[in-house]
Amino acid sequence: MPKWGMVIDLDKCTGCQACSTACAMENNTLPGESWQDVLFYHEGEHPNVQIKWFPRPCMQCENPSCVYVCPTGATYKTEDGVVLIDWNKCIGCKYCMIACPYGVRFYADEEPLLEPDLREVFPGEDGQVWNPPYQNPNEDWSKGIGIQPKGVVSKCTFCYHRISQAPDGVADLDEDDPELKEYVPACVRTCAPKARYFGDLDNPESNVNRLIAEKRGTRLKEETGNKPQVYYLGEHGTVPKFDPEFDNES
Amino acid sequence: MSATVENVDQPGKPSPAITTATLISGAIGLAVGLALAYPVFFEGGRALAQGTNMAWGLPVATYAFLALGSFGLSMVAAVGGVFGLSGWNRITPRLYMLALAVSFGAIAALAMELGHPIRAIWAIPLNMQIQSPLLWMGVFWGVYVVCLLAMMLRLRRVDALERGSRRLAVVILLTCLGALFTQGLVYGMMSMRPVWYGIGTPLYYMYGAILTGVALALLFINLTHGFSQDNMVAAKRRVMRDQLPVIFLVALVGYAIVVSAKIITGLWAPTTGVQVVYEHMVGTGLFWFEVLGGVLLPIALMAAPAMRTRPAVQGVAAVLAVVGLFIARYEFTVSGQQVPLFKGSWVPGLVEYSPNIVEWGILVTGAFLALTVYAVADRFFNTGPYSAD
Repeated sequence: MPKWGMVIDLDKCTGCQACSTACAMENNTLPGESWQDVLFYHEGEHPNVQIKWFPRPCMQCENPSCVYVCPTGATYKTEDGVVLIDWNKCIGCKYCMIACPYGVRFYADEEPLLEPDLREVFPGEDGQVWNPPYQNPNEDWSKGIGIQPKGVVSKCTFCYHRISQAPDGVADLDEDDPELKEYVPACVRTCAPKARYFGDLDNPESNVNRLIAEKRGTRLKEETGNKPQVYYLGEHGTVPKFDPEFDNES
Repeated sequence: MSATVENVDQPGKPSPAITTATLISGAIGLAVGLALAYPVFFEGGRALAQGTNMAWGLPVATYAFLALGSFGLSMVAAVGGVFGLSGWNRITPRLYMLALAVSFGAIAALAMELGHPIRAIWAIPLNMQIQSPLLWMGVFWGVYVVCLLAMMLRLRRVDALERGSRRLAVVILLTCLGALFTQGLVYGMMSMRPVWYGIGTPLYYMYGAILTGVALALLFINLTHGFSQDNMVAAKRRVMRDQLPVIFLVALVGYAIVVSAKIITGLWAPTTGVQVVYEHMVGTGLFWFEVLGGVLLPIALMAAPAMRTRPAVQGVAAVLAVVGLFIARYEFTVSGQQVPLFKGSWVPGLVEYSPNIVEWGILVTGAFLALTVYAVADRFFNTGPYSAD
């Protein structure tokens, strides 16, 4: 059984947000429900201000705090290392959102981020929170796949409907391999500068393991003990320190 | 006054006029609360101001405050039974009844906040996620409510200091402690939320619960007797003049020390985000109202021996303390989420949150549901040889 993980090379990432768009199209997420977000930050002071960006999917942690706190077991970890939500069990208590150190869980049943409210433009049917014109045919509420119902939490699934169909024993899911490209997560497949890699972290022969070893892959917020399965490469692998005073002055 | 002294057949029995007035007030408040909160029944979470950036807002603060109030009331009542305190048997039945009613208010506020409250009834016990503090809080709370119901039935027949009642009081006290401890852990275990994180949080919750319980006990027993001690039996009068106000004062002073320690350590905390949150908090008028009006003024009122025995002063001090404690619960709930987690330029400063009218409606609904349940129990089910208590 693989342990799926992702590597993101920040030296290659251009902040184009194609990953965010592909994720939203693949998973029919609402505006603001950015399972795969690219965060933009200001760093430095005038006149030496830089804009930096940071792609951020769910970290699919080895020790996921969201799983531990969920009172119903709706959030769980699969044998192949992916954290999923069973929408049939989720009670919408949002404790997992509190417990996630990375802010990658979403409660779409909230005030609309943008107007018009797409849930009113495309009213949901059969329990769905909305009903967009295009819908991914893959749907499995027990895995948090598809258009979510009301009153539950949603998150990135590593495109579980794709990766779970991959042939056994594959070390990496590479979009350049015609045999495997259909199993590659949407954000990885669409990444134009090829800043993302997806593979089996338990396989010593995998490209993701080689990259982590050779380029000194780092993980976010190691101090929490969550042990993300998303690794970052490059010099800019940390988020700027939270400094609201700077932002207020600017 | 005349309404309270008419009940000469049962000395100490509260006036039906007061319980009827309480019931009417509760029903009106409940209707207003439901009218304000009704969008949540049709629109769900979309009707609330809380959301992904601020997952737990005023409704959760309401639920936590009422839950702590219920546990606190039961602890005040149970201590009398556990240690066989003379005279406390004259106040404990009413406190247990109020605690049960306040628990109903808390559960109602929580149910209105949850995405799927009905599903919670079966999904939590059937899946037994034993690592979650929420599960254990539910277990303790469930046993606690059952024990309270059993106690209420029992106290219709026997005295609160009877052996069986005292044993049940021990169980109630333990379930209260368990529920408070686990509710504190819900926040205190969150290392990713440094404002909440730490061993002090469960203790802070427990201390707040005790003070809330004492304040509500003083307020409602005085309210029941029309803020007069003239028609109380001697034992109850002694508790209300000499014991409970002193306990209230000690609890207030202790709480002031806890709050001071919390604020000072927060302002000096080196952890990213903690200091800014506390600096922001102490810059708000709400915080100073909580400290000056909700802690220091009640201490001043209760410190003077001549003042603290007067029911009206006790009532004012209790109301101020309860309001201050509610503000503290709200500030604690919100402040733990104010540092944005990986939001980038979308949220450049602290996360902003203002409760909307629907969320205020949930607060009103929870509080007045508790008052209504309490008044209904007092008006229609308070019978038997110990009904005066």
